[in-house]
Amino acid sequence: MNRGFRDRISKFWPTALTVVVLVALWEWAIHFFQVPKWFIPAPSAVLQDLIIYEGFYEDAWLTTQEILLGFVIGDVLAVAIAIAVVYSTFVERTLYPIVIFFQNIPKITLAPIMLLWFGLGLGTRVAIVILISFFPVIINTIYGLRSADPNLIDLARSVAVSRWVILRKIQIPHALPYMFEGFKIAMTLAVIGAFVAEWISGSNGLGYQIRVASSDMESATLFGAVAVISVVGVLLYYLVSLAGRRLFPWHDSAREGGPMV
Amino acid sequence: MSAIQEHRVRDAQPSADTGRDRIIELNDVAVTYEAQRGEPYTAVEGIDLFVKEREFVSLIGPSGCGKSTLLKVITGLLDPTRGRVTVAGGAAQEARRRRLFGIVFQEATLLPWRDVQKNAGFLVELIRLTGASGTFGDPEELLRMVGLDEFRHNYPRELSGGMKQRVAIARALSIDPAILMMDEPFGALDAMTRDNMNEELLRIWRQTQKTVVFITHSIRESVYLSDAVYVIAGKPGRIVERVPVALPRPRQPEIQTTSDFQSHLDLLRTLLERRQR
Repeated sequence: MNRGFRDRISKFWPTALTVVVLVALWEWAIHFFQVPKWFIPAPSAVLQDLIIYEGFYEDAWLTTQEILLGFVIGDVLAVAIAIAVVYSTFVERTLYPIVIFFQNIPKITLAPIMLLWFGLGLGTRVAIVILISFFPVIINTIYGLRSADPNLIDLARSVAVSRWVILRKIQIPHALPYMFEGFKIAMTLAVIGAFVAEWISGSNGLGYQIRVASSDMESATLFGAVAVISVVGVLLYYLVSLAGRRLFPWHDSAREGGPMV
Repeated sequence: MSAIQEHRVRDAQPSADTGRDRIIELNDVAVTYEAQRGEPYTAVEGIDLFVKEREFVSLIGPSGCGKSTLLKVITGLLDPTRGRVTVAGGAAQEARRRRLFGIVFQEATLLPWRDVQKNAGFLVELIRLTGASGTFGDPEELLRMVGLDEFRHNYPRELSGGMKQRVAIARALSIDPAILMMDEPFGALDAMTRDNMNEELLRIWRQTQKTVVFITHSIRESVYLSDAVYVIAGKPGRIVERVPVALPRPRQPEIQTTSDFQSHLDLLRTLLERRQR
């Protein structure tokens, strides 16, 4: 076992212990004070629900699919339009102001409109996730493309390199870490988007389960569904973050103006 | 190249200036930047300047006197608002398209995800991607020339400031330019590294026979390296004087202790100070 791993374990165990103690305390308090089941479930009841109700995992998988589909489509669109905005003055003048305008709208308020257009089902959910994950990515990507070193661009121009090659070999690589910061924000929002979309539009998915469990006062199911969607969100975020760190190990030190000025 | 050959090339006394061997010539050049709001800003004005083939010419002056603007005008990155720029018998834009310039900036501007060799070969790669063909310098030989052949697989973060600038110089030379344009290339280095890089630059210049335009803040550096020094001052920047440096070559660091060297320093200092008042 390497030292880094052991370090992480030794930093991790106080937190783990705290969680175990808190859960035990919770279990004990539920029984001791005889808290009504509809109000707060015992951890054991939540766990039981998670184990016996298989529908959870179908729902979790469905929600994950919606998140991933919307996230990928939204990100691809955002990156493509960002490149067009930076490459073409025409696109910048025509499209960019509209993007900025929509960026300032709370996207989740557009959810009912999506429902109107795409109906009950996958379409609405994916549309909402696309809408909500698009903006942080386009804004970050444009910023990244524009903040490439002007001296390096001048250097390329001074030897008559085409604009497209400058974009491809200097600006886009420079923007990648900024894009990934956008992806991270987008992933967090995508989970919220999928949840809200299911809440308003569904007959399945974790968001729907949460709504039903809430109105039926099935607190164990409710808590279980919240736990599952949290785990899905954390895992997906961690994957994006991990991909970013693997791909751009130099980025943190570059951003801090550290050893690689 | 042997020391004797170097002598023969470098000791040729400057012939009478007929204007025919001028590789760079600026006539009455002015650059005015349009401001987003407020008054337009004039960076340089009334600039007459020439550089002869294979000459080492420095531009010296205080910050904000428009030295870097001149670099952009000469390399065709920026069109002057007024005046004429001629490079190698044509317009600056044309010289840019013919890839006559190799530029080195104060910051090495290396790509952190490329090793030394790939950074040095970066421009050639871009040119090939643009669809142009051409013969370019041998990358291995260039790295040897700048003394980095052992570091070719190192990444920028593993290099010192001086080594990074060596990579930048190799990259500028990789397209085999006629003119090396250097914008305060050693300005961010410590004094000892800077002295060292001055020696290296003189050696590379002798070996490659390029024309060099060298922008600097340092009076000492400009005298030590150059055949002629342009003193630029004022806002907008104007040329105060072209000072020929009549010191023999090849130059060794010891030359800096001679009274001849000292009198050059004094002259330049006086010119700069007089202009400041």
